[in-house]
Amino acid sequence: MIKIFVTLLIFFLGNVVQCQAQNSDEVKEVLTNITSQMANLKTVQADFTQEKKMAVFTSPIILRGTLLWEKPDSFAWRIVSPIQYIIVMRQGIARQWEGEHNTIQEFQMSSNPVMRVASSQLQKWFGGNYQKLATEYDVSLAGRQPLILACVPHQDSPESGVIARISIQFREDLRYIERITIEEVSGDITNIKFENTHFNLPISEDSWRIGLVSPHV
Amino acid sequence: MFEACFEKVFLFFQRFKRTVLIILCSAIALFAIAATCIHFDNDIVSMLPSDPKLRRDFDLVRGSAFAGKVVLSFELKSPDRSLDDLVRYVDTVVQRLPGPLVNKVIKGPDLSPDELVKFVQIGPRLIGEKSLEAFSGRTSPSAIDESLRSVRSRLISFQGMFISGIVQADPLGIFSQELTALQQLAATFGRNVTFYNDHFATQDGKHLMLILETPVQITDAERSKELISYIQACLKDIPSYAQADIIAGHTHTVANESLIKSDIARTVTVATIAYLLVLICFFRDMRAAIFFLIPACSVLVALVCSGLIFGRISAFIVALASVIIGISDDYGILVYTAIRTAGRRDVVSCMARPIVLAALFTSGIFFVFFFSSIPGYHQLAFLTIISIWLCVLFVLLIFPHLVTTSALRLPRGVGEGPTSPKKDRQKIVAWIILIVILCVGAQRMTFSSDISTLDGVDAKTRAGEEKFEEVWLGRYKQGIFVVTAPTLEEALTVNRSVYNDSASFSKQITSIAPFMLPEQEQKKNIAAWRVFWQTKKGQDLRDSVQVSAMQNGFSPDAFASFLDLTQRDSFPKFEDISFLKQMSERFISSQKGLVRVLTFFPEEPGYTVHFNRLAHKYPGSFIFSRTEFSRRFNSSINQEALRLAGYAGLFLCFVAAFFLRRMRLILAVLSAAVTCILAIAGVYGFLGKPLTAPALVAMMIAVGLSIDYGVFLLYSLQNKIDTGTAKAVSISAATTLTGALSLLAAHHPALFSIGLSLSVGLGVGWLCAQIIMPALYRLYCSNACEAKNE
Repeated sequence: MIKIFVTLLIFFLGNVVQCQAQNSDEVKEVLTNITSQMANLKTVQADFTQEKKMAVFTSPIILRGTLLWEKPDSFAWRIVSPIQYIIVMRQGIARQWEGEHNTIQEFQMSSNPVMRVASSQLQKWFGGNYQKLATEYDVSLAGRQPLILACVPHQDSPESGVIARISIQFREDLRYIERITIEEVSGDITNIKFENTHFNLPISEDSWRIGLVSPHV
Repeated sequence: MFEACFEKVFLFFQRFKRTVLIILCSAIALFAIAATCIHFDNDIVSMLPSDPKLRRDFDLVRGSAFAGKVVLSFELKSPDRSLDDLVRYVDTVVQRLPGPLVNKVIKGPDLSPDELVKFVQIGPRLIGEKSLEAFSGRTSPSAIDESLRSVRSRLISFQGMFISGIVQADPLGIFSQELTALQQLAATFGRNVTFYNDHFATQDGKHLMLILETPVQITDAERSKELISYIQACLKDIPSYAQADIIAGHTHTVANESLIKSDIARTVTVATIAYLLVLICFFRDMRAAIFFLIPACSVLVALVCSGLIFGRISAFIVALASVIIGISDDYGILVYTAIRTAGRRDVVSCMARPIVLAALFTSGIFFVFFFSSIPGYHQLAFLTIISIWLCVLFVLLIFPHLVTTSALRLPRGVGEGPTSPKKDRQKIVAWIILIVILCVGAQRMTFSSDISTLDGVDAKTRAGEEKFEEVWLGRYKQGIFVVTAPTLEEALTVNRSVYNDSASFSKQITSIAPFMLPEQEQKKNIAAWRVFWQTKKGQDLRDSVQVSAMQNGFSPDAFASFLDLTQRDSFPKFEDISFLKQMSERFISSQKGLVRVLTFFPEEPGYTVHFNRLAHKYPGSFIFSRTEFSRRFNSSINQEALRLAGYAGLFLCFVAAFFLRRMRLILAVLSAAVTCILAIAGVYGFLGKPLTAPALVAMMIAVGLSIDYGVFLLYSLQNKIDTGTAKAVSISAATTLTGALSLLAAHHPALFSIGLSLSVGLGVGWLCAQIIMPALYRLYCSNACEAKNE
């Protein structure tokens, strides 16, 4: 009886290891594929709907806004409702506008640890280099149709204290992200869905000036 | 009289030669054993002038963030990689480094969100009644509502997840000033330093720094080499996108040691070959080699005596004294040549007077070091004088009984041969022209006490250090205001007052004062905090927060940590916040029963004036400036050198006047020494090189030897017996010069400096003693001497 049990165990363990190896190869292939698809991207402009379920709030918060991204590191995130908020990160400087108080704050990203960590995360998620993402997160395939990547930060990484898991769902044509879900260690969940996505359209310099970011792309 | 006394002692030693030799050998063996018990001191402090301000500043430099430690600076080389990649690699190095050679690795303070939340919890200790009053003015229901709406915006913005803990703990921004000031603490490590994910990073996000604490002393060359090899092995797998530079005093020790070793090996080989050639070609007697052992044995005995008197002996001084005592070789050569030339041992009695006089001159130069304010120099004087006189005693009383008396034919010495008054005058005219030329050069000579000019470190290490300074410190000069007091509480109280007095500069200065308050003030602040929240206004404020939170959609527990803080009786302490505790080591230290608290400020005129004023206001406090320290150090060393040179000059004149009595004789003997000094000063002036401390020591050796040659040759001119002095001086000078000239090929700047000084000074001093001094004697002194004798 014990012999049979051990044989079965070895058989199943062998299968698990084999599956993991196959999975790992498949993930690598998928990441290479997405990275090469996105390598041609120079700009991205999209509308988004962001749903935040946070323990600190009694009910989920739904935000609507636009995203601008330009290679290599320009990023604008504008929330138009229910609050008005814009953050533009470009050339190492972050400028933030809060509509509530109509105040503008400017940070050198290098000298503001929170901003730097946050911007580095944005670059990883939205920047299109998913092969690099795999060096910092344990990436697995959570779905094939549509393609969903599940990313868990390495335990020794700084973001592991905040982020528990990120799921990135891609468009069918794999040109960009369709949905991103961030699960925090605290239990909070953020779900962002992108729509009306346009690729490689020129973005005017004015769009990076705070207060002048176009509400509609 | 002198000769008669000497003869008696000489004969006594001759009679008991064997017994004396046995006693001497046994004594040397005992001294060798005793020498193993001597405690050597590697501390550079013994080489500093005893100016209390200089020493106080030096203590501070030694306690600085990087002193005695190893710094690893990592650079991100590839634009395709992020600082996070570098962080990951550096973290693997951090895991690997600790071991017997690395005690502790400091990568940076832990400024994680959890730690920041903890920091907020010590907040009530930090803010006083005034801050609470100011806060109280911004606590209308509408202001609270506005604050909470702002909190809501920040929480739902994309960076919300990284700041939620702090925002929930301090939604009204009561401690926002203190939180902002935390970032300023990084500036103590350099203007460009910031914190990134628990690491020291540059603001351009391209560099990381590790500070390693090591038990290896910078002066320990062997272990320094092990340490550097160990660190290099730990960095062996550095990825292609990164580069690491090791910044440490240890790299200088290793580089200097290997350079000095190769230079010295070459010099010793050349000098040994020269001496062997002398032994084989001229003396043809291997027993003559004993005179090489004389200085070594003398140093051994003197070392034990110094150990008994001073307790600990500076290792630098021992090295320096061992070089200087090489002068004593010449006494042996002189006595040996005299015995072999005359073919009898008692001829030594004719040599006793000039050798004793030469030793008096040389030890006189070192005697003035007793008047120095540098404690190490007292040891140098003692060690050198004792060694020289032991050499003299051995050379005159024991050595002659060990050598053969068979006659020896030596080639003609420099300056020997037929002379005429005309030729002598021509020589003197040429000498005067040389003196004038050298005086012109000497006027251009400068003195440098900058130790860095003597550093033999390679170009790669130097480039790494320059880059480090530019990248991390931003070519920024940092001044330090130091508060000293017998207790930490008193020091913190003064430091707090200094901080309050510098409120207008608060953004530019870096102080621990906002975070580490005196215990009394903390108690007062806590009491004020409790009172504030116990009043009706405080209770109303709490209620307003809860109401506004509800209206803005926050859950009932959203600000539980903040509300808890307002009702607490006890709060965490400064020591409970690990990053503050870590940072406090940079600001607070205690030494010699005094606690020191530092404040860092930009070394610019406005700040210096302000802090100078505070230094007068608060007794026990002072300003430390690296520029000022360097200036004071250089000026102190220069003044010391000039003062000692003046005393040495006076002492030489006094000894010459006392023993030679006649002005013309004194001038003739000192002509070689004066020419030697002018030659070194002139050549350094013409070459545009500053005279360094080792060159100055070499100058003293050259002056000592030049005087010796002058004295020996003067007495040989006065003596009627042929003692072969001119030949002995030529041989002695030629062998010493060979060694000195080989130093000109040295790669180490200090050794090159010594080589240049010795070669020029000794070459010119020797030629002057052998050519000019006899000419001066024959023209201006001999008739008068003969007349006096008649």
